[in-house]
Amino acid sequence: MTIDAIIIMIGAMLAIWGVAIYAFLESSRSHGERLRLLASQGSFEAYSSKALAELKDWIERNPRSEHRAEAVNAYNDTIRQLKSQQESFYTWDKAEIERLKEI
Amino acid sequence: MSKKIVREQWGTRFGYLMAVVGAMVGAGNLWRMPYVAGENGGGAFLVAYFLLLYLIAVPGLMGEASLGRYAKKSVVGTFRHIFGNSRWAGLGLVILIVNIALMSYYSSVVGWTLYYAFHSVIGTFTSEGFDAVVMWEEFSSNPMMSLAMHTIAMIIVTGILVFGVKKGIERTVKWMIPILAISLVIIAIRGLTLPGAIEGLQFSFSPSWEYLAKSETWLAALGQALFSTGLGWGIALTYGSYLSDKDDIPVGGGIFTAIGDTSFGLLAIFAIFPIVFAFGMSPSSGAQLAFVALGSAFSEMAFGYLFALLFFVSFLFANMTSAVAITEVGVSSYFEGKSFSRIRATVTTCATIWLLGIPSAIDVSVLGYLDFVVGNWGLPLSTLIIMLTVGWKFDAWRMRVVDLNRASDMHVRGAWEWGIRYMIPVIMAGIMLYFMISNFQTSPVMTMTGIGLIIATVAICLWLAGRGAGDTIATGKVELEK
Repeated sequence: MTIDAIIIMIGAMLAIWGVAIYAFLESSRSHGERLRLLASQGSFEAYSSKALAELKDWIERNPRSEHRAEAVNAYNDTIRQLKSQQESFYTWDKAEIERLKEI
Repeated sequence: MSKKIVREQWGTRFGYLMAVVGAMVGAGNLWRMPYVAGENGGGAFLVAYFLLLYLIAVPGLMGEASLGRYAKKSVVGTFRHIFGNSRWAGLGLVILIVNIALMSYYSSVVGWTLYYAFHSVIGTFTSEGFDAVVMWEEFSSNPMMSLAMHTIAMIIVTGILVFGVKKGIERTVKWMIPILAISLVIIAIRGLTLPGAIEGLQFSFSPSWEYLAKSETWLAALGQALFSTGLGWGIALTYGSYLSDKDDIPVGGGIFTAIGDTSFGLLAIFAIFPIVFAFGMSPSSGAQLAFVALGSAFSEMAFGYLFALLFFVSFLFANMTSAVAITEVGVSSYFEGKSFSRIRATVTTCATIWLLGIPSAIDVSVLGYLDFVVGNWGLPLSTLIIMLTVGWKFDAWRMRVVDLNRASDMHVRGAWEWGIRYMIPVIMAGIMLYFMISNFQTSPVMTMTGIGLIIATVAICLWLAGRGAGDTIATGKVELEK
């Protein structure tokens, strides 16, 4: 085999099998964490800090949307969950949680 | 007394991941990807393919699965949920019909692999005087045998789907897909130790960079990325509808589905091409590569019985898990909103597909025509419909912030919206137009009748939905007052 074919072959193995195996293991690991939180505290927050900020941004920019109530519910549920639960699924700063206010 | 039908969910994460990969891995991965790569610049094709996979298939699958998880309904029910009582709800019916048409002839392909898997079990490939060409010709010229295989294939699909998502689909794929992977690894190890096998790898991986400047290479890579991953066929939507709000979509339903599917294509390059080159066969012989060329190779190989068994049974598993997924799109749509059992819905749907599949089973030209219409316009249209629905009707921005990033293992950024709204729809529309122009030059009658069929299907579905006929198909949860 030529050197360039070997490089492409190894690159494809890393880029395809490597990513697939990593995605499989990461997905399985985090799912185990979800199940542990569900078993220990019944639920966990639905959004990460970044995702929650984007959800708030959408709510603020779409005040007249017919779907606003659904988004507000999801936002408020997450804040209530964050303030009541012992452990969080995503990485959160305690001060950040305290600053969050329901809409 | 009120009775509610509760939507089933996946029992385990492993089950969902195996189901989505099993749904997408099919004949295209095992016999198409290796030779398409080799014919289009080897490593250069893989670079183009990988780029398109990440730009189109991964974000598209995320959007489709997210739509299913959000609505928690079948394809037809999801469109009714999104479009309400407008005629556009009929677009879900279009996707359902495309799936039924696809399955009506794909069942015959499953039947072929069933026939070969059976012969691998009884040792035909290593029997004295075996001739792979004669075997293929005898089988393909015997319509009754094809019909019998189509019938058995549909009976097996029915037998799996009557047990539902957890006890049927999930329980089956949890062992079929690992066996498929292990079998391909074993065949690859054997293939790579054959004299002359390295030529196969050289053919597939040797980069001819000038191919990146050819539009044919990009079109082939695009076709492989779209058709191999099943983007926009309604399968990812249906399987996503069985996820809970606490499940991740981007990593499992997007990245793992697309890249996991491709992993089997790469594995097939290692498993099949070394054997093809070691035995001096033509790498571009399509379906016959699997049924004739490899059948012949196994008959001459040491431990040929074992390798024929591993290959053809794996091939059957790959096709069977796809067949189950395609049929489930129909079963879930028919079952949803009805007060009768899943068994009745499964038997009725599978019996309908079996009936519609009879012409394809007994006449391969019917199969070819349906594949021509469904592959060129039906499936791209389904993808276009789903992407436009996620991007514009639902709103990609809302989808991303409300559902896609909910409980996700990775944060999906705003660029995703651009891909869903503009890039994928433009590419799908372009593909349909390209197929129309290129096929019109070579097969004008087939092209015109095919496009006519698609237009008529869309018009009838929109008309039916406009009349409220869609209400009889799916409305989501049912409440029976007794």
